[in-house]
Amino acid sequence: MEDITNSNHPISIDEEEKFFSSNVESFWRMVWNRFKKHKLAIAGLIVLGIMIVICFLAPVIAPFPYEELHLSDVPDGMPLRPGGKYILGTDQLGRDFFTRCLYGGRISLTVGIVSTMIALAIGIPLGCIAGYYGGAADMIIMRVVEFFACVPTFPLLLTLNAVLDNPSIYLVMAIIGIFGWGGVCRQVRAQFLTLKNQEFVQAAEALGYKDRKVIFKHILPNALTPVIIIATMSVAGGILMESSLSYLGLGVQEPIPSWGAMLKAGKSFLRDRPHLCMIPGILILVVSLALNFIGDGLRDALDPRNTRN
Amino acid sequence: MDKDILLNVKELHTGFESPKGFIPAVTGVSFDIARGESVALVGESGCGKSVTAMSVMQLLSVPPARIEAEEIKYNGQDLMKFSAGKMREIRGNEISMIFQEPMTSLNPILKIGFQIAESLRIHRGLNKKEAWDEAVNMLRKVGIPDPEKRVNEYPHQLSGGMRQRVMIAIALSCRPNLLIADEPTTALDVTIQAQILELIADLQEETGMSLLLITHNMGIVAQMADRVMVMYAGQIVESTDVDTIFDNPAHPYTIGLLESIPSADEKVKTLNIIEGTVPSPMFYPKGCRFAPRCPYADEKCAAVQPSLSNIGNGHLCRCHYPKNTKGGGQL
Amino acid sequence: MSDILVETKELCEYFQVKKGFLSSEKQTLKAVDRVSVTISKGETLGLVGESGCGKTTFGKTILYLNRPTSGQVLYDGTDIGTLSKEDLRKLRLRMQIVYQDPYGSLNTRMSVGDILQEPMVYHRLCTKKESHEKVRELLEQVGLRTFHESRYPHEFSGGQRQRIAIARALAVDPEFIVCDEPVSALDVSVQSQVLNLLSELKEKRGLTYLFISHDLSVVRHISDRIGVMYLGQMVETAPEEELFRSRLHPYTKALFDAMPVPKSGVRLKRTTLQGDLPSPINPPSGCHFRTRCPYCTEKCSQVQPVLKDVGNGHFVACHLFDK
Repeated sequence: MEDITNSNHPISIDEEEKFFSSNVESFWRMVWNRFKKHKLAIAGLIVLGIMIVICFLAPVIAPFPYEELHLSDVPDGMPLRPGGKYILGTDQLGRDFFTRCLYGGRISLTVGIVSTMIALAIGIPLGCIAGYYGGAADMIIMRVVEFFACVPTFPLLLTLNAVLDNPSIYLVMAIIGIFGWGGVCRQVRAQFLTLKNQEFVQAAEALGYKDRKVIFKHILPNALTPVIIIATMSVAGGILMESSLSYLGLGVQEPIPSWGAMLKAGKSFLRDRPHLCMIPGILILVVSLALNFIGDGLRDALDPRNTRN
Repeated sequence: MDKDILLNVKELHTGFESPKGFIPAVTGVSFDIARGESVALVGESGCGKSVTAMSVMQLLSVPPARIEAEEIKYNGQDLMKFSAGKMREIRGNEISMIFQEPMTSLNPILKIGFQIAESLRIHRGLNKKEAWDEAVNMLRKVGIPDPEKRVNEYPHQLSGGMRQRVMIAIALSCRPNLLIADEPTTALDVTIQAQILELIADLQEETGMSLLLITHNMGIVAQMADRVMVMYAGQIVESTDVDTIFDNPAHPYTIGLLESIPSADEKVKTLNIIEGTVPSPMFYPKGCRFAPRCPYADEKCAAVQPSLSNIGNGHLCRCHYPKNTKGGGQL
Repeated sequence: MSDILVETKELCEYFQVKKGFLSSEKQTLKAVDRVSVTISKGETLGLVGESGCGKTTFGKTILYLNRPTSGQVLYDGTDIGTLSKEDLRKLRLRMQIVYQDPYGSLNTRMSVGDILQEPMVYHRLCTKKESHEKVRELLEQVGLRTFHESRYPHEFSGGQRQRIAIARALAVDPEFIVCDEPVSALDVSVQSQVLNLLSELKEKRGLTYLFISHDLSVVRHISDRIGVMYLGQMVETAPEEELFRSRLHPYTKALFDAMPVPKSGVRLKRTTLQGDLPSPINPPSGCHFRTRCPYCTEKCSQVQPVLKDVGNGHFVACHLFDK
C-alpha cells in the first residue's frame, strides 16, 4: 500500500523534469523565436547576410581588379552598357562596374560597422559611468553629449575636408563614430538609472562585488537591449553618411570605390547610362532598409512586455 | 431549495487560447448566491477565482477567452443569452464589481466627483446637478472626510484606502443587488483594510445586497463571509458555511491551507505545509487535481477525479475520502 | 545580555524630495528617524509596520546599502561608517539580504548555477571546481533539485525563486541576514514552506535574522523579539511572548485588532483606528501617532515620546506610560 501511495505522487523528479524541459527557453532562444515571426526582419537579415558575404568575398568573385583600366574598351569615354564581357558594364575609364560595386559595398559596410563600433566603444562606458555614479560625472558627461548633439556634423566634415585635403577613409569612420555616440550614451544611461535601483543590482552590491563587476556583469547585460537596436540602425546611418560624404567628394577617394562615390561618378552620365546611378543607389537603399527592418524586428523581439506570454 | 436565489452558476468552464495551447482556467464551477448572503471564494493565485467572477460579469474578451456554461442565472434570467448592451445595463445597475488595484480602475484625468456622477447619470438617469449632489452624498456615505472638497480632487491626490472608498462609492452608486469584490483590500495596509471591510459590511447591512468576496486571506473570510467556497486548480473543492470551514474542514487542501497559516494565538516551531506547488493548468493531473500534493492520496485518487458531493448538511467536498467521514480512507 | 551582533544608534535616513514637479524647493522625508535597536547573535528581530513606516529603508540602511544620514551601525562592535570601501566589501560577506520580490531580485540573464557560484568564486571562498559541488549542496539545502542548476530564473515559480534568492544569500556563508518581506509576495501554502526553510536554516547555521514584514502572524511565528515601527520611528519593542501578552502602545493594539484571524466565530470587529497614515514628509508634531490615537492628550502634540523601559525587556514610546 505504501508503495502504491508513493508512486501515485506524480511530482516525482521525472515528472518535474519533463515539465521543465517542455518549458526550457533561454533568453536568446526566446528572442529568436519572436524575431522569427517578424517577416520583414527575417527578409532583412537574409538580404544583409547575402550582401555581406558577397561583398567580402569580392577578391574571389570579382572578375577584374577594381582599379584595372580598360581604356581601349571605352574609346569615346562613354561607359559601356551592361552585357558582354562586363556584366554591369564599365565606368568611363573602362573599369568593371560589377567589380566596383562589390568593392564599394565592402567599403560602405565597413564604414557603417566600424563607425558604429567606435560610437559604442565611447557611448557605452560613458553611459555606464553617468548612469551608475550620477552626480558630477553624470553632469559632465551629459553636457559633453549635448555639445556633440549641437555641433552640426556635416558642415564640420566639410570644413575638415578643406583643411585636411584628402582625408583617409579611417578618419571618415572615426568622425562618423565620434559624432554618433551621444545617442548610445543617453540610452545606456537611461537604462542604468532604472536598473541600478532594482533588487538584483542591490543584491549584487550586498554581495560585496566591486563596482566594475556590478556594472559590467549585472547591469550592462540587462541594459543592452535598446543599444542593440540603436546600433543596428546606426550602421545604416553610417552607410548613408559615408554615401553623402563621398557623393560630395569628401569621403572615400579615388581609385577606391564606395557606393556613394560611384553614385557621384555616375551622375555625369545620368541621361545615357542611368544604371550607373541606379545600381549603387538601390544597393544603399536595400542595405539601409534591411538594417532598419532588422532593428525593428529586434525591438519587437527584445521588448520585455512580450516576455510573459 | 427554498432560499431566495439571486445568482446561480451551473457548470462554468472558462479557458484561454494561447500560443502554447488551450489553458483551462475554470473547469466546471457551479454555485449559487442567495439574496443578502455573503459568499467568499478563496484560493491561491492562479486557481481561477478571479476568472470565475469575470466570466459571470462577462468582462473577459472573447477570444482569447472561451466561456461556456450550462447557465448563469441572475434573478431568473440567463446572462449567457444576453446581448453585450443588455449585459452592460446589468453590470451597472444590478451587479457591481470592485477590484484589487483602485488606481488603475479610476480614470486619472477626471475628477472623482465626475466619475461617480457619470455612473449615476447613465444608470439612474439623474441630471447633472442631482448627480453631483448624489456623488457628494455617496462620498460621505463611504466615509470620506470633507466630501464637498474631495469631490473636486483627482485620483492621484487620494491615498490607496481613499481610492478604494471611491471605487466602492461608484460601485454602490446604482444600488446593485450583488457586489463582487475581487481582493478589495489586498493592496492596502491592515488598518486600512479593516476600515474598508467594515465599510463593505455596513453598506451590505444597510442595502441588503449580496456579496461575492474573492480573496486569498482566510482571516478576511472568517470576518466577512456566511458561506465559503474553496477553489483549487480551477475547481471548487469544498463549499460550506463559514464555521464549518474553520472548525470541521473536510477537504485535505482546505485542511492543509488552514494549518499552514501562522497563527497569531499560539506559536509553533514548524508550520504544517502542503508539499509541492499548484499544478500548471496545462498539466492538470488526470485524477484528483490535489492528489500529487495530498498526504492521503491513493491509487483511486490518481486515477479517478472525485465529484463535488454532499457530505451532509449541504457541506460539499470534492474528495474520495473527506476527512471527517473517513469512509475507507487510510491514515 | 547575550552577545550583541548588530546595534544601531540613533540611526537616521532622510531623503530629499522635490516639492512639486516644477518646484526646486526640497522637503525632507524622514524614512528612518532616530532608531536604536540591538540584535543579539542567533536572535531573530521581527520588524512590523504599515507601508511607508520605514521598515524596508531601515533594513537597507543597517547593511549600508543606503548611507545613513546620521547615526551609527555597529556590527560586531565595529562602526560600519568608519570602514574603508574595501573593508566594507569584506564585511558584506557576513551580512546578506533577501528581498520581497522574487521576480526582481534575480538577474534574469544568469543561470541559477551562475547566480550561486559567482559570489563564492569572486570572493575566493573556494575554487571554481569546488564551487560546483557547493552549488549543489546549496540547492539541496534550500529544497531545490540539483538539475535546477542550469535553469534560468524565469522558469521558476515565485516560491522557488525565493529559495534561489535565499541560496544566493547563503552562498557567502553569512551570519546575519536581513529578510525584507520574504514571503509577502507568495501564496499561503508556499509562504509556509519558505518560513519553515528560514527557521530550519537558522537553526542549522546559527543565523541571525532581521525579519521585516507587515504581517503580524508571520512575524510572530519567526521572531524572538518584535519591533513595531510607525512613520520612521520605533514605537514599541518587546520579546515576542511579552508583546502578544501585553501590547502597550495604542498603535500596536490597533494593528493587532485590525489583523483578520482565520478562526470561526470571529466576526468583524469595530475598528478603533480611524483615518489614514499621515504623510512621512510632514509627520504630525509631537507623537506621530496622535492624529489617529484614541487616547491623545495635549502633551502628545507637544512632546515627542521616547522609548522607555517598562520591564521584561519591553520598551514603549508613549506618554501613557510616563511615570
